[in-house]
Amino acid sequence: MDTLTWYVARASGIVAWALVLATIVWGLLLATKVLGRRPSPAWLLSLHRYLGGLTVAFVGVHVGAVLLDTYTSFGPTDVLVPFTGSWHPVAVAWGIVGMYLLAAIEVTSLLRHRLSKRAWHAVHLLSYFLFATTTVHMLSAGTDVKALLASSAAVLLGVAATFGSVAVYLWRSEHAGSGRSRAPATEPTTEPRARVSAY
Amino acid sequence: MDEPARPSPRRKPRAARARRAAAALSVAATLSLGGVFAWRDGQSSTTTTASESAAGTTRSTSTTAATTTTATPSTSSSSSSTSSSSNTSSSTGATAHTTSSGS
Repeated sequence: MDTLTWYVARASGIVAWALVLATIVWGLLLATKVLGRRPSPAWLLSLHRYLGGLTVAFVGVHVGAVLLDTYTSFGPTDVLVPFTGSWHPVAVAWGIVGMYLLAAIEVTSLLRHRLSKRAWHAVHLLSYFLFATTTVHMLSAGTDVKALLASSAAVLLGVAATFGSVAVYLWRSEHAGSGRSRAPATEPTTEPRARVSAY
Repeated sequence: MDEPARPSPRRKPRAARARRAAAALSVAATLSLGGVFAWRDGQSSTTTTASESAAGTTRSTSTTAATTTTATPSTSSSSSSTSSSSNTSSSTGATAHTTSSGS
């Protein structure tokens, strides 16, 4: 029973990291409209929001389990203020920074209608930095990445996310450039691609 | 009649299904990951305990479980081959529990 909180902390941490990745991927699919009209943008947005909320929930479970764990004996200050804990302070600090970034992104998304699009977007772009900090946190603080499978899976996913983002960005830039040279947007067009690139 | 087509009545259940699937997948992943960690830790502590008993070293089970939580399979096998060096296997498979509790 003593180790249950430790297992929950480890497992929920990894799942929270995977959810961050999934949320970013869904956000990219939504913003770039790379999939066209199917699945619908509304469906993608709904799932993107839900995955974000789920990430917050799992981070809550992760932090809660760490607080309840009797071996690491973290206090509220240790999980809120970087470099205050005695156990791997630098590695934990990455996680704390990631937690604040996640909170900022989530809160600004909930208050999106009260913010300018520019401000919301600026904060939202921090999600890439959030992914980086949580990955460093997982690799440095996580005791399970010593296993070869977990390490290689993390590296592969990170590489796929990075190169995927670049590929999507390039595809979008190229497509937007070709879309501008087409007919005006007010004109009804039979090409759904042209409407997609107008985003 | 010429009623305007409803904007995809399937959308809502589909989104709800996706949300449920995401939640279920996350919870299932957490549970299975926790289970795998527990099983792996149990395996490694069992291996260490067996090697210790073979070497004739006396050590309480609770201490062994706390100090050898996430020893990798390779570490466990090496500890079983070098049965007397139980302290070495504990330090190589060190986790948060080992370092914080100080064993």
